[in-house]
Amino acid sequence: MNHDEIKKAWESLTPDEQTKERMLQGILERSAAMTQEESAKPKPVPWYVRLRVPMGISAAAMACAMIVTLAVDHPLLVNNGSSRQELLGTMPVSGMHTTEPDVSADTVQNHGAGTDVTDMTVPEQTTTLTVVQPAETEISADKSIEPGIFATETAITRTPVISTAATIPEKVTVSSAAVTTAPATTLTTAEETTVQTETVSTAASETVTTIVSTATALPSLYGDMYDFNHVTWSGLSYDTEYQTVSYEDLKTYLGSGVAVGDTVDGFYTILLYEIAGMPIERGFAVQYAGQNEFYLFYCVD
Amino acid sequence: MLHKGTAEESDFQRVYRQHVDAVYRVCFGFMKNNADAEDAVQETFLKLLQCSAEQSFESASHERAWLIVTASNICKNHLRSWTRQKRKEMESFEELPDSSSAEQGNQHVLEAVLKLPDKYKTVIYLFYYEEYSCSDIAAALGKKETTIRSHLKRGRAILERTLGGEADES
Repeated sequence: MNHDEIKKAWESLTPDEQTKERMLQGILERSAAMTQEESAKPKPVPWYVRLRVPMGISAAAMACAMIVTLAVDHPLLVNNGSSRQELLGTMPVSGMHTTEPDVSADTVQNHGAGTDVTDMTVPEQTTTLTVVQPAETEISADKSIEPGIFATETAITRTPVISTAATIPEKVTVSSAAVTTAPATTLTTAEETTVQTETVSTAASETVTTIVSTATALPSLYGDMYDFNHVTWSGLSYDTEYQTVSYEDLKTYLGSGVAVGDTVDGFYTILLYEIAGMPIERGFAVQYAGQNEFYLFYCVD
Repeated sequence: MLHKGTAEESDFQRVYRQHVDAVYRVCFGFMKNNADAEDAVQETFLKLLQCSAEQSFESASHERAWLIVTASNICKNHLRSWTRQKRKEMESFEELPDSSSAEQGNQHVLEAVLKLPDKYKTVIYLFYYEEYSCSDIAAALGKKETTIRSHLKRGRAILERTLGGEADES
């Protein structure tokens, strides 16, 4: 055995041309397949991209939590009931009986405007609360109050729940109070407001409380709902005679739709409710957008 | 030589034709049959394709050494699998390529070489056929030069014993 013998032995292990071509084709095919697999494989998303949405949500949640915490605890915020109490406790109200900031619904209620006293606070529009002593007087917006009469002005913020018509009842919130001991000279009202006046007498000192509430007349988005008395739902036609249905009779919310009218163009957005004990094929209740009442729609097909 | 950034098909085919014989011999030495040897050859050149974008070779000999070492590693990995080990116990040489063209005298030398343990076989191939020096083999295989000399000596002794015994018998 020598060097050449071993070398020649290895040389005999040479693939023929056919085998070489077959292997080359196999390599190229497998390479092409691997390239396709790699191109089809989605690119890995970096961690900061994957966590971007959760981090954003977390940050937003933390921001909301901080805002809520500040809103609850901060003494300077108007919205805080306790601070309102503290503020009122330091008011220099002397020699008069007036309605407290916690004006109850029984005491202060604007029946004409349907104004309720709640704790909701959206300081947009103000209502002037005037306490006049000692006489029981009705005052109007254009009347002047004589000097020497103490007036308490309470800022009442009002949040319209449904504000499509001026005559719709609206909730009014007493959120803060500012009592002034200076004589009130003139009772001013804001422009474009409807002044509602009520006289409230208290038993102790016969204090006359006058509430001037504002209610802005808002135009309806759709027009007069009484012009839209026809609804098509699930292929069936329904009409209404505007017979109201109580809230307790409603069963489930069916969805939203539109009501049309014969004499008007366009449509009125409505919400549909199933009435307990009445199949939908016979009728259902409809709440016009911006309205409180529910109206019976019966099938006419 | 498949240099960096030149992994085009024509370059690859040129490299393939240049080194396929050597790679095939190494693979056949380990796998001892055509089918597995061809698979190992394909896998080796696929590795070259994958690495060509990241690795550049200094010369054709560097590239050849890389291919031989890669081929031997691929074959060793294949042989480590359980199924392959069981198969190895059952088989000897299934076939030798183109044995009709090989001289009869080389045939029993080849069989003796292929029967060598893997660690000796690679060193014998690189030393006798590729004509690498012991230091080159040590560098290529990542081993000490003394280890290579030792393997070479032991492999050569086994071959002499095997072939010498046969010669004596004949």
